[in-house]
Amino acid sequence: MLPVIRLGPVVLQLPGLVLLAGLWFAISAMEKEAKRLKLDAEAIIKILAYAGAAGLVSARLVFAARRSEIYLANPLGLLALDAGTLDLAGGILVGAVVAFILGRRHLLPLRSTLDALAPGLAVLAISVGGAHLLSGEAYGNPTALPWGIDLWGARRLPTQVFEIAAAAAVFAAWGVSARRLSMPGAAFLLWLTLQAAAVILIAAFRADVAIWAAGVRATQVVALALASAGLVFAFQWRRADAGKAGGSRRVSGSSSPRTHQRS
Amino acid sequence: MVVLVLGSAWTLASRDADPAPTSVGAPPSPRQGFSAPEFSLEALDGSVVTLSELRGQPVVVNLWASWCLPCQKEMPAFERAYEDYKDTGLLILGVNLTAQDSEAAARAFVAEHGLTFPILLDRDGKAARAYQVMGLPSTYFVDRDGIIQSVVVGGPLSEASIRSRIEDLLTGS
Repeated sequence: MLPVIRLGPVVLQLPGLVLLAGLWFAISAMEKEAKRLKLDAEAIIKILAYAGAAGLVSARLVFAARRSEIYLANPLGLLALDAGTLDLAGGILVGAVVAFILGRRHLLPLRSTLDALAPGLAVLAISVGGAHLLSGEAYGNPTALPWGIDLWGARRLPTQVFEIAAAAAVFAAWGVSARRLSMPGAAFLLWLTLQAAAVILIAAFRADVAIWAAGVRATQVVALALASAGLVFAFQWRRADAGKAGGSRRVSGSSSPRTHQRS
Repeated sequence: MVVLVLGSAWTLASRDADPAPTSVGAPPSPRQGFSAPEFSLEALDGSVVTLSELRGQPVVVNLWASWCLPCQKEMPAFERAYEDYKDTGLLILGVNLTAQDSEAAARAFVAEHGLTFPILLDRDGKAARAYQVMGLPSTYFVDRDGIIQSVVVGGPLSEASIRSRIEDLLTGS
């Protein structure tokens, strides 16, 4: 664990730097995949940048709105470099809405665009594990096993290492399988399902996850919900594609009656 | 479908039989959700302050040194927050890392910034070790039960950030 390094008067947050590096590699991977899928990679990167900026600003504004008295008295606090004063849910929601709207405006096909994002998300998941390892977040249950690590006053399971290994395995498995999938959107759903499976598996060994009713871990329930949503989308998209294919066969059949007469 | 079936089974099989937070009963540790590590230090006025004796009131522990630039920048915001919140029972403890500073420099710093909250002297570096200080300033927001609710390493913290975290301590959110 090495959450910060001090360079003179400056304290550098290493987990943040690892996340930034991960973001850079993720954007490179997304750009490469977008080009392979013959999508407008430049537009996608631009949309991600706008969505990220909108999300960041909104995260701070939503946080400040919930404490309006404090921020009205100290408006410069809006500009503070403090990740602890961000409303993550508000930021993610606004960022996603902005990305969706801009994607529509640029006429980007949703499903193929999601496919282009998948390898980047897989890379980002690896860097999140690295950030957790440095900060000591997402720590494991106490253990007496020899591969335990000393953290927060106890010998614990190295769940951050599990997280990195699982995310790397997901990335590798996605790389092997995704290009065999022909349905637009399937590569993204494959990543979503594999990553959800990794989270469900590892969350059982973590000591910091919220516990819901009957002792069920919140992280596992959320991952199950995402995997379920992925399954629903997979069925819907397959049905939509089958409908289109059937429709086009009917159209081509009616427009060329001679073919049918011959057969 | 396989992931859903196996994932649901694993989720149920790995349920936590004891839903109490895992940090309860764990050794004190300088991180969110754990008991704040204990210290007993002499203040500039000669009194001795023991953290565990402050249970029942929210406490902000700020570790600083006079030569630390971000510490110098954020201290006035802590003083203003202390002035506004001290009637609610909030206590701010400024722990000077005297082992890396000097008592004279700490006194001069306190006089220069007009600090009125207790300033404690960590002469042997025991508190710094207990809090695993890796950078200055380091600030810990400790609730009435002695549990750390928020940790900020580095600074300077904005006044709005300090007040937001204090509000969270006071409301228990």
